[in-house]
Amino acid sequence: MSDRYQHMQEAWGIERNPFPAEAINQGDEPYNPDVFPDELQKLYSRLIYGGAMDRRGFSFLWSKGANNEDTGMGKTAMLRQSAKEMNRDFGETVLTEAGINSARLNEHRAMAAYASFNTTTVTGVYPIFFAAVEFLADPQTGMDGVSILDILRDRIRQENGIEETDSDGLRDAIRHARRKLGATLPPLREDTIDAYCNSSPGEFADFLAEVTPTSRIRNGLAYFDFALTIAAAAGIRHVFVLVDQLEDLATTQTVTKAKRTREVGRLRDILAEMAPFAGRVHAIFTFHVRASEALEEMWRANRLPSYDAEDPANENSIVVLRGIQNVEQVRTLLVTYLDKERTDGETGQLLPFEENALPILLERSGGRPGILLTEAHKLFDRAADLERPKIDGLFAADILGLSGIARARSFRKGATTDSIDARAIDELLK
Amino acid sequence: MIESFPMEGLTSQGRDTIPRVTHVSYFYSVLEGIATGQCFDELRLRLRQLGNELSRRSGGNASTARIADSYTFWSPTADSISELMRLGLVERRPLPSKRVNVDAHRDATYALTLPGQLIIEQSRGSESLFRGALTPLLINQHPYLSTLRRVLAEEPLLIPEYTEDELKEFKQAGDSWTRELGEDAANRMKRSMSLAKVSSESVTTQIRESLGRRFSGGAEPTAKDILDTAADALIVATLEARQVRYDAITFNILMSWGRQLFIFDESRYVHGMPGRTIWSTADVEGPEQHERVTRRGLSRYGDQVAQQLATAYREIADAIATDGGAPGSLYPYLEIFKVRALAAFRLKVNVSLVDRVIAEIADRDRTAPFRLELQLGMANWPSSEAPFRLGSRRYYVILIKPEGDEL
Repeated sequence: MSDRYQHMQEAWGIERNPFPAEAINQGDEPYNPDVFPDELQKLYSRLIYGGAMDRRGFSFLWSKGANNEDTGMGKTAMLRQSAKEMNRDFGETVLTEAGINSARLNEHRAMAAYASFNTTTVTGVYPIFFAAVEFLADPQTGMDGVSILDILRDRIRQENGIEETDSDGLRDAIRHARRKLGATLPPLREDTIDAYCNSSPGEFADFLAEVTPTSRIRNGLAYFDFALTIAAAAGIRHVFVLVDQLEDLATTQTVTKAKRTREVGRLRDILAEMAPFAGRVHAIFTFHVRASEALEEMWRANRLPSYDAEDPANENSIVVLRGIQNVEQVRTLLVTYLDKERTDGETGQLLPFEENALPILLERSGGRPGILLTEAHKLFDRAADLERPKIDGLFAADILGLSGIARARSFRKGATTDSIDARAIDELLK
Repeated sequence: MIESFPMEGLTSQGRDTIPRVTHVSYFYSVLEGIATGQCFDELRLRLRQLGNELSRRSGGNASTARIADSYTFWSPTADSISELMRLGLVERRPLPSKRVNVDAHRDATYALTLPGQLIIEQSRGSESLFRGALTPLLINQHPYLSTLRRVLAEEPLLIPEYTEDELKEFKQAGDSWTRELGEDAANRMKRSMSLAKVSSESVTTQIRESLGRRFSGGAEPTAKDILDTAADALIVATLEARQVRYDAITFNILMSWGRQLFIFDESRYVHGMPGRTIWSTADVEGPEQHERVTRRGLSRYGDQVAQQLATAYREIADAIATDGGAPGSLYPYLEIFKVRALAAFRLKVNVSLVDRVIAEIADRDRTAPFRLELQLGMANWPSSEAPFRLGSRRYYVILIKPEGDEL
């Protein structure tokens, strides 16, 4: 057998397997807004434009799959993409496409930070705000290798005519912005101002890396307060915090229920009541059924805004991802990944996939893009190992264990309920 | 090993003997075995295998033998054959009545009667057809079963049930926890059964007598022992409130039969019913000994079930929304077992019929004026409620929303 990579290059013109082996978004995957155009448009118009105009602190990005699976639906990818799109020109494209009057655009400049709860280090509200600052300080999640906070620093200097060497001038501009945010607000952390005003691009991220886990838990909000002030000094009114994995806050067993309830209460304080955050900071939380069940009690106890995805009254604060519905979307998604690794650049071709493999991938994945991509990874690998010229429907069905929609459907129905009970219904309860 | 001793009692219709065989499948399996000429020991092994299979299928809830030896399952085997003889399906001949006698019967074979041969032919290898044919025979043979069927046809039964913590609260609330319990249980029965003739005193007496019989002087029962005894006493008290007299074990076996024959059903989670709720799911018509059983099936009740699902969902969701001080979700995910129990109870159909309708709507084989979503959720599924499966998957929560624009 020849080298699999040689086959990928010679037969398909592709450097390596372009699909991820795991259904977890790492942040550097290609993204094509045409896979979920309607959902992305709703996210921009309802949650970002609407959130900014209505000064809404809580919005929700739900996922509900066709086969009732709720993970791997593309929420994380969509949030990361939204953050990127927002930060590219501080909301100009997103808000304009969503319909903002150009005369009002400068009043509503916006930026976004993606942050995710987890079960080990980010288990509370203050750490999640610290994680948001890390995102803004990280050159890898910024624009062209420059972090958002570094871009903002240049913007403050530019708008206030401050020389690059004038750290005192930068400091004064930040303090002036702070006073405009609120005359009685507590002062910003001196060490943070020093680090920011005296650092070169990328160095502020190093400063944050030195912050101890304990300090992240205790002072995470103070760091975020600093970032918000920097944004204000740069003329950015709105900061969107895109919060993933909120259910980890509710289900982490090492955190007591009382503490978890208190953390949910903190969300209310920060996003709805506390200056300078209320009205300027807008959180968009990812949600699915298990998360909603885990959080229901704490959410109600703290009288937080409803996240009910079915209530028409919540239409403006919720977007629901229902997964990939048709073969067109499958094609767009696959081509996006394939083109990224084409040796001859983008072609818009499906090769090595054939059209009749697409329904198999759609059925097998239940419409979940994350799962669909990992299944594509398997097919791609296997076909390369076997030196197949193409990946067709039969091959896909063979490798993935299905032979298309018809078989999948009958498989599902065939085992409906306990077999004796099922027969009894057919024979006794017909 | 399942110990099995016939239990005798008295109803208005006279004495009856209910074998300690909870699975109707045992009757079918034994009859099939006899038809193929299997001897007692082969029938015993056949039931042992079936018992293990039923246990596996129910997730370990069904009784299985703790000790496996050459006597395992001898008693249910003897009871099952004995019942088939009583029903006139197998020719009468002696059976082992004690473990020590089993060896003398290992090679014994049995013969089907003409009705026995007919029922095997009519079943055509289908256990559910056998269950259908067995139902009138059991009703005719067992006055306890026919009495229970009649009582349920008049009105559902509500057996109050309590937790250990609730009993603890009764103990802390007053001088006599049995009186507190008796009063609460009697009130629940009266609220839920218009035909109940019951008083706090009669329930209290029943509880006290049961505890006295079970725990003689000096005994130190655990909280669970006391709870189990009180639960059995409340079954007897509920039956007496409806003029039926027999013990809790007999009642539970009859309930098990009724559910497997699809003529009764029950749930502990019927919204608004504070306890174990039991209802009839079939109509029995015709003269005595020639009754015709008509189950409430899919073709007659399918559309009503679909309609009732939406109503039950809304009723429970509204109750949750007004309970708790803060507004809840308009369309919450509710435990499937609660929604289906209320729908089944309202229409007096089997829970499994409701499951089938849910599955049909989910699979789009049945149209309904609403969108139905099934999800895994995080619900704790109680062991008393049969799991809901669609294909090879289990689902725990359900959402029902009128058709319209999606968010």
